[in-house]
Amino acid sequence: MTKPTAHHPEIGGHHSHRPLYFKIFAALMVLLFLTVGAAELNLGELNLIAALGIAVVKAALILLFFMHFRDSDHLTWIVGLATVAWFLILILFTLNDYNSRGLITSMPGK
Amino acid sequence: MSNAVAQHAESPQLLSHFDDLQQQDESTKLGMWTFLATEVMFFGGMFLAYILFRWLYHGGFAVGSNELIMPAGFINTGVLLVSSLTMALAVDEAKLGNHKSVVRFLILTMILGSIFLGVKAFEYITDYHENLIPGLNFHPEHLIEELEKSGNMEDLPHVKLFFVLYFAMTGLHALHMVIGIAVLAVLAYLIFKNKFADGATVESVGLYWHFVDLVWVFLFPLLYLIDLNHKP
Repeated sequence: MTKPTAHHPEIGGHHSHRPLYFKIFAALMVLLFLTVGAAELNLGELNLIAALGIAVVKAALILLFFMHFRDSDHLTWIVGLATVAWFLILILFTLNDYNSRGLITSMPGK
Repeated sequence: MSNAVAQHAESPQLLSHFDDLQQQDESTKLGMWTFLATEVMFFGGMFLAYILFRWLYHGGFAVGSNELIMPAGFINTGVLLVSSLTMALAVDEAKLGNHKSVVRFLILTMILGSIFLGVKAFEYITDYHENLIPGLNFHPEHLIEELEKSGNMEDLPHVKLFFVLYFAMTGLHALHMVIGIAVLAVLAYLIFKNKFADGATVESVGLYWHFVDLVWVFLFPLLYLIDLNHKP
């Protein structure tokens, strides 16, 4: 099974991350209960902010630890951060467009 | 040159177009990350539509959201988080070379993924019986009555829009789960048959699985939670 041809750069040096994974999982479950608890309370606008804030923290934990983004090389970081940037362009620019429609009511020459 | 030849001679799984295993593994993972970037844009369009229309038609979206079975979404989030843990443990065991444990954790992950789909199917069937499926049978009598009473009948098309997006987003996510389970099955079979032992490939499949979990981490609050207190 563990024939030397299965050699991986991380094998040999690799030690189990199991305790870390259990800690991250525990944190994710705590956040899950927290987000449902927060949603049951009437916080007005804060409901949305709390829900999305907790979701971002959960996503960051999954990304950084379960997906090993933390230990990834620079090229992977560029792909990851570019993805976030493009996603934000998609969302924020479109919302900005919708939000600003009709703001300019009198335009010279129109 | 002779070094490269030696590298290939001692590692049969090293493909001819790579210099060494590290380069090969990094390329495998980078390929998956690039694919996931396209997936973010794929789901991104739907998230954009949801965010935009919820902002424009908040009343109807809140009514629609309150029709969902929140505890089912809650349980499913928990199930997916456990499946992410078992997937992470499978990758961990793959790096340690414990093939039997890898297979065990992959099967566990598949079972948890199937439980998720089962709960999802239960929700869809409930929605069907409540006549909440646009294009198939969207005429929720109790909702129409309520909206008439509160004088918010103009919200009804927006409730329908909420359910269009709900089924599109959760359906696309469920499709990703089905594909994920199928990929895990093939991977587990190949490792079990000892035909396959590449740690980077197990990790890449893991990346895909965690990504699908990550999408749900945003779907759950957006669809089920944020309007629990917004009763019309």
